[in-house]
Amino acid sequence: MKYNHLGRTGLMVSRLSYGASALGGVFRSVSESDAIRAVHAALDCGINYFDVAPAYGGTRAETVLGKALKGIPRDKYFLSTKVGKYTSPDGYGADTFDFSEQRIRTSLAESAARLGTDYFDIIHLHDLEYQKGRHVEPALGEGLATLQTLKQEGRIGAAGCGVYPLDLWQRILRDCEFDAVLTHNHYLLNETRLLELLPLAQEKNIGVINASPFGMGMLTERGPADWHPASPEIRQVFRNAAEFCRRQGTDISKLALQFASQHPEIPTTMFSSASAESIRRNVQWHEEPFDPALLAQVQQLLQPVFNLQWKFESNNTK
Amino acid sequence: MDDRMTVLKRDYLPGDLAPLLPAAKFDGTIAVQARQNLEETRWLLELAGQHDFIKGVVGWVDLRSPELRSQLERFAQNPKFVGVRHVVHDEPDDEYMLRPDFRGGIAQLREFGLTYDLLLFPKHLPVAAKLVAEFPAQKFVLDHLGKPRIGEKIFSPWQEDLVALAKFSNVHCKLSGMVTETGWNRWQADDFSRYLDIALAAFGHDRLMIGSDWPVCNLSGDYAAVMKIVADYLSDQPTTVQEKILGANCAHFYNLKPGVATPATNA
Repeated sequence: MKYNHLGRTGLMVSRLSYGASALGGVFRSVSESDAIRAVHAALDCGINYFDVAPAYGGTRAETVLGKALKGIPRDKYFLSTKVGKYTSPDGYGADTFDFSEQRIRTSLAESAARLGTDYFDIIHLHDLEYQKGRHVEPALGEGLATLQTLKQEGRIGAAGCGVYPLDLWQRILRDCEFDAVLTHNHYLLNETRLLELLPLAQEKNIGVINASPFGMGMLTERGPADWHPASPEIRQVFRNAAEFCRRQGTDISKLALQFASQHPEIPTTMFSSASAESIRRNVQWHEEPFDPALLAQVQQLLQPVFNLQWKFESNNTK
Repeated sequence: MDDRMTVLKRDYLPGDLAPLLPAAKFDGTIAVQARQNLEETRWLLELAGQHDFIKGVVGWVDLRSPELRSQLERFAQNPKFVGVRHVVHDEPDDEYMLRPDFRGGIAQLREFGLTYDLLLFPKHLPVAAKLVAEFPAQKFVLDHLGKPRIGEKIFSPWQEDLVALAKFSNVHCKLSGMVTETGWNRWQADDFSRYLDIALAAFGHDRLMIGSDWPVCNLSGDYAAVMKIVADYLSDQPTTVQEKILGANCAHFYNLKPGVATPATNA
């Protein structure tokens, strides 16, 4: 595993990083013992950056990650969680949002208790564009100011955020003082629009975390979860690409992981998995260079959906 | 333009090229930009619409502009708009290609199915390697072999840097523009063979394409003579290799519609 500077956060993070959403059963249900084995496998492979959120599985992902990290010296890993978005355990989607200073402070205290640590290397403002953008101004105002205060107090190491829409990313990178940003679904086989944002981030030395190399399941044999907003026609385009890879004797996930994680200017690519076996396999794939001829063929197949932007929230918020 | 450039002080139009192509056994060309303005891109596309033998246009768009997306959306409606070029070697900043806004522009090309032509001097080759590494899914082509100093028989560091750039499989190379990198009208075909050997070894026969650099080649020769240099050089190669480098690779690179037999690029 190689390590890169995550912009001005000062963290040296592994090129593959671990997102704990799968531990909350976001993609499918997970046993606690499998989840703990998965986290330990990630650590054994050299992954040193873990991200989670109270919204994943209604705090379940944080609880399970906390159990898995128990007993691991705190200086062996970097940890971030998120604030502002909260959901109930029975459904990814029944969301409430609050980016006030008061809620952020109690949120951090709750996360600290679940995760067994009172220090977070980064705190991200979570999905702040949801609910038709009504939380954007409070989040980028009071929310970001609170993170900066917490930094000065030494409670957190860096301020970050995660959103999806590209126009909002342009604004955030241009106008806001975040140290790190967590993008998802913007640099992977079927989309590379993160490359339009990277120069902006680099100018201000903001660390970029590239999440969702598998497109929330679209670039896997199994396919996406039901809540994914892709239409049946679009799902078929992805299935055709997966089928093509299978006929070539490979798995589309391999190319997907390699392509997303081997970009020389992206410090770290974050995937989620609750299986120790998949984690070890992903790390092994990441270490091998991708096959450029296969890449060209698969991207040709994905051309009809290339750079398509999803409407995540409309299907996601009930 | 100084006096030596007199031969270029006139308009060269499709009608000038039309008789030269069949005489040299080519049946199409890619028109490549010269001026850096949108007006020329529009004009080249208009000419391509009027002349079937112009198979595609590599135009100029303002890669650094916030308006780029709308420029691309407009031009990309024309199927003959196949690629983009900026005259990078005339920029005073050697690292122009790595400027954030330029890279942000390159990032948008693939969505529109567009290629990018690298017009460089040898000193830019290592910079180009950094650029192409950042866009593994974007197709690039190096024009004129990166303009080695053929007249002075200089190879290093052009050769090493070319080999390093060719390691990126998304980079192709045009065998073109050589006659103006040596004594004008005083060259012999032999002057180019070692440079061609190096390019062939670096890129292999799937990523090379012939180009004329017409009308600039008229400074030091003419269309037929310039095309003959590469055709003769390839004469002891298998027919399949000749067909690829003399047209098929170009058609494939610029994604030209089937039925286009052997275009040659004028960059």
